[in-house]
Amino acid sequence: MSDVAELAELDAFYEAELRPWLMGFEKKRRLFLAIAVGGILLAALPVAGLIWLGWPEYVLFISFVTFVAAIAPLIFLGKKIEKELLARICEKLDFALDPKAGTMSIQPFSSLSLVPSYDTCSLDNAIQGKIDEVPFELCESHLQEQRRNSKGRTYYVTVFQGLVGSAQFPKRFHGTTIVRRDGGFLASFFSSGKGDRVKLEDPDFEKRFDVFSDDQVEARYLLTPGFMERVKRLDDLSDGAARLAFQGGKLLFAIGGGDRFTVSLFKNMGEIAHFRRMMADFALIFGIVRELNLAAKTRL
Amino acid sequence: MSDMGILLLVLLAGAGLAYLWYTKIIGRRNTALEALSSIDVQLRKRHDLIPNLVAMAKRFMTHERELLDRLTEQRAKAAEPYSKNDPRAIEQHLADERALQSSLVRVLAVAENYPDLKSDRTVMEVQEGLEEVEGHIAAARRFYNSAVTDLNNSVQIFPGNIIAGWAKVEPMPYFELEDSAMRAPVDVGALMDKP
Repeated sequence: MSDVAELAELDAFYEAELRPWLMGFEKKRRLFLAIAVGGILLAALPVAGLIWLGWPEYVLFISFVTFVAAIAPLIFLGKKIEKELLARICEKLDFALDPKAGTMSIQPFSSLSLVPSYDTCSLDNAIQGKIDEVPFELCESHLQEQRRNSKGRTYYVTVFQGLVGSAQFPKRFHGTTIVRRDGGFLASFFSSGKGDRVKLEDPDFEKRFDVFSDDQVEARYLLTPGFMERVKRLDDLSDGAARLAFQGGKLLFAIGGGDRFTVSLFKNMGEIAHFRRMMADFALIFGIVRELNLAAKTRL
Repeated sequence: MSDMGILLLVLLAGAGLAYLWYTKIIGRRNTALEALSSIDVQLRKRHDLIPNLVAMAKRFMTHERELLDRLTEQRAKAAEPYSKNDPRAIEQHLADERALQSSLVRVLAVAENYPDLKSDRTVMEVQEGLEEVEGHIAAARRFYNSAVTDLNNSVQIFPGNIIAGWAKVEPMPYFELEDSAMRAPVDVGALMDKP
């Protein structure tokens, strides 16, 4: 399956195949959820005892073990469902799925400043395929930065969580052009190393984005008035979390906004919301590739 | 501080501001000239494709000799060297290019009536090449017009006009699509019928 229009047909696929399969996990989910809730309450007891009854401090260890033991089955179940649901959707869409994302690298995205600087990076669920004959690849990414608190202890903060990927761009080009959210004067000033600022004619586009390129003409060749409209549409679709760059014949994109392809175990497994949430991410990717394909067909 | 000192300070500040404005004007003129050069690079690509197109078209479009000869003449005229320091020469050069583009559009439109010509592989390749080049020309034109707007704003607004007068920097012409054929509404239906 590769046609954008067919994405809508996936609801039928959900009803016929995914829903019965997901419902098979409902009993287990309820049980594990009850265990988790009970375990959390139980884990809270030693803490209360420590605070109000003066219990010894080692009860905190018991509290921690109880907490982990209580939520672990629910977490593992969630991961298992997410993994299998994604695999089934990818199979239906004729996409290749690599859960370990062995072929993907965050380097092109960080070198273009599409993602913030980080200390640790984990990539998973790499998906490769073609949509309307346009090849693409993407994966989930989680970037963390190491920080120190006032006592000198290190801790990690998430600086980016979302999808990173690339798609073949139908126009030939050689330079690098980066489209980022408008970060104001200071951001523009400090981004001067990423090429020169490109001033474009569309005031709304200029308000939303900063464009930098090492080739002023090529940047305008890629960002035609028509394509600028499409980038704005993508921006609306992704709630302003999308960043784009053109390099090496490809369009690279990073879409933040948190963990993707997730399943909430606090909802009944029969609810279509699990599937819809995952499909919303696919719809976004289909949207990006469809815009590229439109650019190829209309040359706008 | 004495009156003389204050006067000297004011003069120095004025001279500093004038110098900054001067560097801004020169920087913008250089950007506009760079943009003009990038237009010329793209226009040269267009010029290079036209002889192939004319040679192929002459084989099929036997009744359109006049049109093809005019295209060849206009190509030669547009390819003539010109002074980039003279706004009038630039304007003439851009006008020649507009005329060439207009003729090119006319030739391609007439070529639609010759199915053998349209389906010829070389012509199809030339047409694809032209489409790509036209995309680059449009991009270069946008860059040039943006640079010219910046330059013209800085040389036409006071005190830039005085400094530009001293520095002999003149406003530059825009590269506009003035030809009526270029502004004609696009036949979307015909475009959609294209394979």
